[in-house]
Amino acid sequence: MTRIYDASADATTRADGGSLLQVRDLRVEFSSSSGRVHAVNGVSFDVQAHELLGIVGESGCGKSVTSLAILRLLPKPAGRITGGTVTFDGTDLLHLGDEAMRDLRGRQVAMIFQDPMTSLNPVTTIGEQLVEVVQAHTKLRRKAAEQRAIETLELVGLPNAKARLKNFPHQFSGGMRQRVMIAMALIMGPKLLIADEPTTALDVTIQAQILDLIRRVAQETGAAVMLITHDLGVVAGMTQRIQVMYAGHIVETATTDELFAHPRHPYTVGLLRSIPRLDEGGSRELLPIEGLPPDLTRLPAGCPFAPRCAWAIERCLTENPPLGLPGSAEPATGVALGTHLAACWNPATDDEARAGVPANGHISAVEAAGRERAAAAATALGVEP
Amino acid sequence: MSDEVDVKGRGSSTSPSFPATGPGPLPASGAAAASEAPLLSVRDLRMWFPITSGIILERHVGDVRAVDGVSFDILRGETLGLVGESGCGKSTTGRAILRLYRPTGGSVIFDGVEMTRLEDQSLRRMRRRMQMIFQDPYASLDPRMTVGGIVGEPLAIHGIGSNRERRERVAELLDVVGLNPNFLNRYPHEFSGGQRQRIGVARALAVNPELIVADEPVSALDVSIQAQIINLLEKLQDEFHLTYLFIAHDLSVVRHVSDWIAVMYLGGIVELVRSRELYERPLHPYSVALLSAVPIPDPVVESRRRRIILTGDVPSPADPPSGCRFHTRCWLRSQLGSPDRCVAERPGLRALDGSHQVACHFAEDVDGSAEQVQVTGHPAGLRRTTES
Repeated sequence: MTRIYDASADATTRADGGSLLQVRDLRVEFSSSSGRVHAVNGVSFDVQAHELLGIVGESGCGKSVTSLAILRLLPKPAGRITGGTVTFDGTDLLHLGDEAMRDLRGRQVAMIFQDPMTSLNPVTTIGEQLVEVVQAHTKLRRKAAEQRAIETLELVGLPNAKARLKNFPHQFSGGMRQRVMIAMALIMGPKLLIADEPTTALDVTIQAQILDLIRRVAQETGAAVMLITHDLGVVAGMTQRIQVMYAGHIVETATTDELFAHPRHPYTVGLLRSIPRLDEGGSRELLPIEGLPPDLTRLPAGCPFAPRCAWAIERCLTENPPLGLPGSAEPATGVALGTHLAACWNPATDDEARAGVPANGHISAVEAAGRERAAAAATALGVEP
Repeated sequence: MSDEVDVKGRGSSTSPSFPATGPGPLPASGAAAASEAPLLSVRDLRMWFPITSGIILERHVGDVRAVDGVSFDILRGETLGLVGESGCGKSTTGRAILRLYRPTGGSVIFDGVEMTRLEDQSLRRMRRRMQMIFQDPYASLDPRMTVGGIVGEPLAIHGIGSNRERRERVAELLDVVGLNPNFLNRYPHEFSGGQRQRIGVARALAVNPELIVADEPVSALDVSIQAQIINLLEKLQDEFHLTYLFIAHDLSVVRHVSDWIAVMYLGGIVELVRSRELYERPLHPYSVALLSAVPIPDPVVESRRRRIILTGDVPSPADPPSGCRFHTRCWLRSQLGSPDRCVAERPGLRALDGSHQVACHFAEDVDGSAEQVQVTGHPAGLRRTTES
């Protein structure tokens, strides 16, 4: 049977009070017409104060759902947190009353979404929307709230902020709208900023502006940032620590430098070898990750990446590896934040990671099993395999 | 297709066969133009969309100059990457070349035939030789048609083969693009994004085209799937000797697949150069900024880089700036003390160092080497705050 990795309370980090956000064994399910979608399957991690943490993964890996679950913003009634705990600054968020949760959102933890056009209200001015945030959290009068809106817009580099309070979202360009979104997130001075693909909808020169801005405001306000993205390039220059997610699991985590220098999980290796790099040009062959991400309604027994993995061994098909020290079969407990952990039974070596393929032309267990099946079928039909 | 492969020894490009400067008629492929006629030759292409005012009596009050004087050549079997930010006119260029729009001006010569003047039957016959791959694999496939119907439709339109032959050809095409030929009777919703894009590629290949315009073919796909499609396109180019116009906003992808790259800004090409050279020595201030903005997935490299962060947004193509269209955001111009020439005169593409073409009056002042970029980098350039 499937052994789902069960993280104990202090699974991945040292148990000290230094973490701003502690997520332990978080599980989220969605009900859909095709069955239960296991979107997040036991995710544990910490975010420290003032830290820039990157969460990397492709669509459907659970990175956005994790952040929505933390803020209890999952679409109801389809989405449901089925297990785990989320502690922010000592407060248990999953058992907080609705009123207190509403007050915490925006004031303590704020979120920037991918698409600023659909996240802003198109029929009210941005001044109105910013003042609404301030007045929802404070007893400030309108004038004072407006003043605060102007200051925040100036912080995010919106020229002529005072006059632009009267503008509607459609009167801004994409980059400027994203600045407004960031201002809205920052206006209450949150301790944690969750940025969910904040630059995906933007052009590359505008992306550089916005990333520069996020980096700067994080430094100036001291907010921790959880940067969620599919783009390894974006996290490489921005973050101190990275978590790679696949099929609702964290499959690898390390400091940014360590992760890029010594990727251990075959999925991370695959991601790095499948994207063209501007500084390497056409000389390097791209090695795509074959196949497709698993159907989250029917997660495979064993490692969810095994069906696409060239490193897969037999154990991968039956047993899901815990997030532990690479090469160790034990879940890591009580290790320091930033320790390199991977959820893999057969992690890549440095040489293999550079080559992008396992040494010795290793045939993955999945392929071997497939060949066996084909041979068996051929024998049953009485033909030569 | 890699830029390491110097196709038929071209590219040294010391040929003096260039016409003088001026916006436009420079052959893209340098010396090659003298020896071999390009498959596609675009000259001073303009595509303006009228802006009208009034409900009953529509008055023509202006134009959105989406494409305004674009010229390039593509040699048979090569790939030209057209790169730029949204709204720069790169997709419109692709569509105007295929005559999905009727260009406002300029000429598009495909294998010696002037495309802009073709009508009806002759246009249809030419279109058989050029096909398109679209960005969105969800919107570009009819959800009510089977895969067999979709891939076979170009054959039906051009009246190629009998029903049975078409079915066989479709099965063969599915196999070529890496799909199971038995999927013939399935519908698009049964496929993933990457598989749908393969269907789109199979449809484009159906009529054995010579030129394929690929408009952001991988940008809607997940990163792990992008490489599958890029490798497929490269394999097909080798196998069928295809010529690609590869339109994309992602410079890393464009550099990977292209032999030549044309960088577009606000309706015009600002730099046209061999793919490898663009990264090593960009000569237009916009290209320099664009390259510096592309994140590289390597923290060590990133920590050494300097970003030139362009201020402001791209101006509206309905009211483009006078002179050089980039002058409102140009870091080089402000370094040079804002010379008037940039406002007064629109620079045309001119050749520097043989085949390297650039549309900037002061391109000689851009030493696009990495050191120069470091020096000229915005003071708020990339600073990392890691503890290491």
